[in-house]
Amino acid sequence: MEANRIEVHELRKRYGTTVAVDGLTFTVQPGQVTGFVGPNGAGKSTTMRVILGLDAPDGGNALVGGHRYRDLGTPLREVGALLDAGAVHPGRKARDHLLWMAQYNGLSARRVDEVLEQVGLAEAARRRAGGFSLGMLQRLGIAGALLGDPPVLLFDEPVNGLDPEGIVWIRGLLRSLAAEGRAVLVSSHLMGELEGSADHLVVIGRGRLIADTTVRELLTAASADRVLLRTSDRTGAMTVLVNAGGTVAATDHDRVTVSGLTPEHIIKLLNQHDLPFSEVAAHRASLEEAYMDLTRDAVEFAAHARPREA
Amino acid sequence: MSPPLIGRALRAEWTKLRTVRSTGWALLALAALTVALGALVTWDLTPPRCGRSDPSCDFDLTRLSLAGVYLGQAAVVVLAVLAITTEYEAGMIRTTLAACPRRLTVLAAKALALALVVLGTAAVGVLGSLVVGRQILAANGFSTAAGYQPLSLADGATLRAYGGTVLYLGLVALLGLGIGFVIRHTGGTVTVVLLLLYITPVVAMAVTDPRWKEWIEQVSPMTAGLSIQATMRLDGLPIAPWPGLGVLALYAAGATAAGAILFRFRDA
Amino acid sequence: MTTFLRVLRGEWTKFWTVRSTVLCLLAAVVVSVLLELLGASAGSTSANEEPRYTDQAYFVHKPLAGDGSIVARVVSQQNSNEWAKAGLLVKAGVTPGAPYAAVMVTPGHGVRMQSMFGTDLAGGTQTAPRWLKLTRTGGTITGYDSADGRDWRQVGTVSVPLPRDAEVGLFVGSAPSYQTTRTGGGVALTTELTVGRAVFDSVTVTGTPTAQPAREWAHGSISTAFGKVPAGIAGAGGLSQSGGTFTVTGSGDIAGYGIESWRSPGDDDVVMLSLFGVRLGMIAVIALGVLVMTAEYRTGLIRTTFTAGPRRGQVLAAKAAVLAGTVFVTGLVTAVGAFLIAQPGLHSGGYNPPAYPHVSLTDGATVRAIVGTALFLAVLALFSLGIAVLRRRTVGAIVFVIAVIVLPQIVVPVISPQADVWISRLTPIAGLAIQQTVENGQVIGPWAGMGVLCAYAAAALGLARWQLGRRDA
Repeated sequence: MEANRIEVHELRKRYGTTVAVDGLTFTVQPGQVTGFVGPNGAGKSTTMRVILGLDAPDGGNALVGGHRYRDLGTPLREVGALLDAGAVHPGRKARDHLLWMAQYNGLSARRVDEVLEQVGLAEAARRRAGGFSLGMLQRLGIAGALLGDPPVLLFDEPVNGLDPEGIVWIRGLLRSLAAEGRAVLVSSHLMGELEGSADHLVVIGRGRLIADTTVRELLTAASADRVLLRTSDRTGAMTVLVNAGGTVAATDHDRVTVSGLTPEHIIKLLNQHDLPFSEVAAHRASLEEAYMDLTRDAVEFAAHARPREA
Repeated sequence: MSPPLIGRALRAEWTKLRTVRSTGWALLALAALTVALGALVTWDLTPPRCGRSDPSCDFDLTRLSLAGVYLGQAAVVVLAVLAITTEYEAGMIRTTLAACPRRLTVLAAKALALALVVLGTAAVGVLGSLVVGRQILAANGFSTAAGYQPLSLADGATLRAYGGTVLYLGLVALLGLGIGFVIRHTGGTVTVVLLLLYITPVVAMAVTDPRWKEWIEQVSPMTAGLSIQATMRLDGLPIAPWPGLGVLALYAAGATAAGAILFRFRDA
Repeated sequence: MTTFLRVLRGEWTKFWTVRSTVLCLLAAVVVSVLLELLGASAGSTSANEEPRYTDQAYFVHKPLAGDGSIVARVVSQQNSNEWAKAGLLVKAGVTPGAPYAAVMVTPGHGVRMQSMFGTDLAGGTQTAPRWLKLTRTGGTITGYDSADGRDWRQVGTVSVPLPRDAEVGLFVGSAPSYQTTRTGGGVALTTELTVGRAVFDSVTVTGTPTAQPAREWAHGSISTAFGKVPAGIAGAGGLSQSGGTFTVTGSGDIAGYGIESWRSPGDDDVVMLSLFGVRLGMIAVIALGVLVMTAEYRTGLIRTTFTAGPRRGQVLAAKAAVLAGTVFVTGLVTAVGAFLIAQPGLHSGGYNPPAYPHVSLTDGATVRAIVGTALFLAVLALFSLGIAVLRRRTVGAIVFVIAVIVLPQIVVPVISPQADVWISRLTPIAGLAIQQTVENGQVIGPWAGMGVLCAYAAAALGLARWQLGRRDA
């Protein structure tokens, strides 16, 4: 089915002299939650704005269900999006805010009440949005995205400013939307936020694609062959392991990180040379660490001047 | 089966206008200010003492009764500007464009909804100031016995002044909306539009050369546009009624076109 | 005090580091100067091609050959006009335009000595009854006044090219009054004749006559065929004499450029014309005064500000000081620039002596007008700031201030000339009266007008201070 996927192809966008997106290509598949990750300023919001036809690309294209967004007659029935939850007229009531959106796309007022119910805002429907908390605004924005019951959904930083309960609610919502066969794209600058909800990851940095992979593959790759070793004879251990062909890095006075050797092989070598050790463990990377590895070079505002702590 | 896009867009933009309180206040201010200032102008007006044969003697009673639009138009400007700039200031314009990516349709629907609301209110408010003016003037001695016809829409010139004034307010709304699309900030837009409208009388005060003065009055949106209100001494006007309204229409068209082009090609 | 200085410094930095601030100030300068350039180059007057004096009064006279003097007491004078004149006149002849000198009382401007349609010397502020004396020695005429006819005080001495045989006597005139009336086409300035009436007694003419002074008085109107008053409406006047008491009625004025009573409200004030541009430039100042406050409310910066400076009164005072200081300096630059730019244009447009004496940047009145213009802008900015604190929203505040300041100027002349007078007295625009340098029937004086504006600004800032204290940020 082509109807419910997002295809971004060779996308380029610059603002003045700043290149925001530089030849980005990826596809968002239906039936799963795709995390869209990158540091602040990596080009996530720009990409989403181009997908929604808000900004015009300088090169390449972004298609939703095979069409440019601007060519969609009733776009909210095809794509739902949450960009900026605060983008509501403070003097307008929540229900009225959704009503005009519905009218633009020929949706009924009944549907407005349904989504208000779905996001838990039925009580506040007739209150002016100016008095809403951040969490309520976020729910209102999500209601707007769900309004047209679209097969494709985009959420830009949906958990920003939510309390833990709200975060759990969003995760559940994202999973259930994907389970219904929809394509769901969720952006975040913190990988940790996506742990447990995303199936697939598109990682970008400085406007370029860094990784387009499943969460599982990424974790495996990141933790692949690193082994943590704790020993009281650091120098001896390092000499032996390097001679055996491993890559070794000292991380503490009694700790060493080894790669290129399996834990079994390391234990064998240490025993052969009578070297003491208190711990040998295969390293399991967290999603956050995997992400940091990937984006280390792409972080634009890294604090180069500050020496990294040992 | 949904209605065609422009119909849906118009309905949505109407909902937007309807559901913020500022719209009601602005429209109320439009009608109230127009009627109130008109009444104030005619309040202490008495028939002139000069000879009725002197062509420069008689008051243009229709025009004086309709003088309230000088003030009423400020409310129209605020309404028109807010209709677009609040969307930009809240970031809501992105929501709008996500709901309807055809930008020119959005602009057309917004302009149409705004124009309808303004024209409707103006039709009532301007008629109100004619009715109030008619009552006050009759009480002040402009009676049939003294040779004055009561203000009536049956009179061709008065009808033109009435209809033209309503159109004038509609065009002012489009002018404000167009410039709003260009500038996108409320404070800046309101200042610029009010300046554009009210600048001429101030500039004309500074200019003492009559030829310059006339030229300025011919090309300025307010002075030229409001010449549509004249019902007598048309030869003495800097610009004739309909061409004068045409000048304002050009301003409104220019502003709307500029707004449309920028809206179409600029990133939201 | 030191905390206030720190807050002041913070506000100063905040003020200058925002682009819109600089833009607003620049706009104020550019708009003012451009409008001035337009106004000055498109301004023209034909005042110097029109008659330069008027010579109209009722004259009760006798011939006087050579030196001599005349004394009389003005018993009473009707207040037909603040510039009604009753007094003693010596004139080369009764032909209009003939050289003259006169000493007189007026209801509104005290005792004056005037001559040659251009010299006007002020005496005391007394009104009738008053003794007056005029002595002639060759071409030198000296005027005196006295309360009792014994103790004389000199009003002034002038030189007048008089022939040996001149006419000397009593005169009564009353300058026309000017009224703004509504006409079908708009508002017109109309001139209305006024008739003055005065009673004289104790009239003595002494001389070294070649022939004895005539026993009988001759009398009649001096009347110009031109002048600001149409000749047709002049000429009312007459004499009724009983014993030594003369009751004289007369209308018109003997005056010219240099004599204040010749001015009419239609005359331009060259300095005011040169500073006209600020009427438009002030809109940028209003925007600035509003934006420095509302921008903080819109972005929520106000909370940061009040966290950095919790004493809100101090913050407001610092903001006001920075705003007023900057606007004052900018206004001063603008006013001086506009004034200098306007002068050549006005000169080539016909604003030249004698109708319009050239003005210089160092004249007292010009300095007051220029510094006053800068002050006007600064106080206007403070008023806008106060309103901005009260309204907190940009549009509301800008529309309100423009509605209060700019709209009345445009809308009210349409309503009625009377209402216009009250607008110039009671709305903040009264402050612009500080630009007046000639007096011709304005409705409010320079400093009184500035006082009105200051009162508005003080009220707005006072309310703002009170609101800031009790409202959540």
